[in-house]
Amino acid sequence: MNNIITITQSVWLEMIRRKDIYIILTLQGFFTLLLSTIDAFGSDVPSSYIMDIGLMLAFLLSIAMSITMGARQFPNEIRSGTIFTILTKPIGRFEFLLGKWLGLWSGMIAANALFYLIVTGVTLSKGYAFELPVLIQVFCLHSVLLALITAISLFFTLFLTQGAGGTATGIFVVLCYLFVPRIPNLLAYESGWRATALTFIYYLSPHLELFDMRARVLHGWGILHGGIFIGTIGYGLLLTTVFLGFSWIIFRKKHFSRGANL
Amino acid sequence: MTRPTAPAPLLIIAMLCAAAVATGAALLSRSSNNESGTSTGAIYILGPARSLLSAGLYERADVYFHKGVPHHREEAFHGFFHKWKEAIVPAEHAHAEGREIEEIMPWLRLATRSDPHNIEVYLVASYWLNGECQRPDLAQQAILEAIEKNPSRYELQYEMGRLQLASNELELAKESLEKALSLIIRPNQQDPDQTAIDHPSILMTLSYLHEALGNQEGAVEATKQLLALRPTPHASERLQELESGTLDPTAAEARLEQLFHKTHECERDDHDHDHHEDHASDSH
Repeated sequence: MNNIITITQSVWLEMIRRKDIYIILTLQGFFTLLLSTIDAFGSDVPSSYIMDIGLMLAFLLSIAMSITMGARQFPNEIRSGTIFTILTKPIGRFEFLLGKWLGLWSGMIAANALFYLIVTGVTLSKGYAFELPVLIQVFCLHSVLLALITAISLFFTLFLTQGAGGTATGIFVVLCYLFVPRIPNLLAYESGWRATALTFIYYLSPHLELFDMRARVLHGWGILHGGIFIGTIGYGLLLTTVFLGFSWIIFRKKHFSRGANL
Repeated sequence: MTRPTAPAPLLIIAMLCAAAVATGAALLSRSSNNESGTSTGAIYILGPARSLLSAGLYERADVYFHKGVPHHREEAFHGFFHKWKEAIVPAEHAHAEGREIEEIMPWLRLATRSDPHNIEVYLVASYWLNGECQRPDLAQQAILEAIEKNPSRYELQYEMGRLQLASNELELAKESLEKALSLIIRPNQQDPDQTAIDHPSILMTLSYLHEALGNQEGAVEATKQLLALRPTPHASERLQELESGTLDPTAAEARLEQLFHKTHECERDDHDHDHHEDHASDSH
């Protein structure tokens, strides 16, 4: 357990040392403040549009950060040769993998909490009232989504280079988020083997859209039923475990060579 | 664990984005006093993408009006995950009501900022501000701004005339409708189908407006133009009455009010609902 915590801390230190998060937080704040200056044809009714765009940015930026940060973990260690030092110490490969993922995920949750703080701060300052418990549910499902994306990102970079792994993760996430939920619509115009293949993809692919319940807080639909909420979290954690499991299968037998082209 | 590396590409992209946004914001915040057809700096930079952005923001306003429920799409089956998603985010048809509708205004404003020549957005904003939101003053301001940016569009003068009619500013309404009439005869970037509907409507309105103001000559002239454009038994009958000197300003005013009474018809076809009287629409 101590080894996992040590690896987690090293990921945190790296995230703090790099300036990505600061820049992205500044961008988020800048965008959100810029939006708050819009005059809505003189209307003085508080609107959720700031929260809407702010949360959309939080989703986009946190997903982008999870992919880029996840994609550079293993390639960086291999490129710099530190992986040889680490793995000769009494740190198991499973502990190393889990530590990396946990560090990334916890770091992303912390960064995401700051994104949410900025958005809620600006939204509240404009007088828009929202249900805090619903926002907390949005944050929880968003955090589960980030757990899954960091696991996917780590998985791809175990057999691809940093660039290719990041790109593959990005494409996979976009497809699962935007394309897979539309498959029943596409099937209305397809038949034969294409329809069968699409149906297969629909049921087999991760449904990332389930972790996005922003509309509930933006349009006042109220708190999500506990059973569905827990079920969705369970689904996300199950998928994360599957991707971490695949990563472990690859990682435990992986042969590292110095000067690998990563 | 890892040695420091050169600045990540993400950092460079983020800084470039910040610079682009700052430039865009500065340019967008400038008031545009130029004539229609001349691009502002921001529009020049964004190019044709501004229309797409504006359309997207307008669609977002529609989603807000329907309380976050997107348009229904045809589907081959209602999959397990769809049902799950619907349990998380409801998909039943709903409408914003009362001042809640004003929540769409920031989206419409962003859409006009993206493309000031998308007059449909101004017209929709005006419709809601004047109707459900009960802010005719703001509606007139919005249309005034639209006219400044699109001086050659008759639709805006027509809408201004309607707003002034609703505020009982008959003289001002007459001026606006006459401007609309002078613009409609110039075939410039106008939708021919909509123009074919609006042209007789403007003439008919002007005819009643002149009558309401006690101007027989103006009423006769407008009705003659209407007859020339679209001969109908009602218009012929009305011309005969006006030429015989039978003027009824009170009835004309009542008729105008009747003409501009609007009801909302939701454009979505994926539902049935029976509260057409409760909300108005972007029936422009």
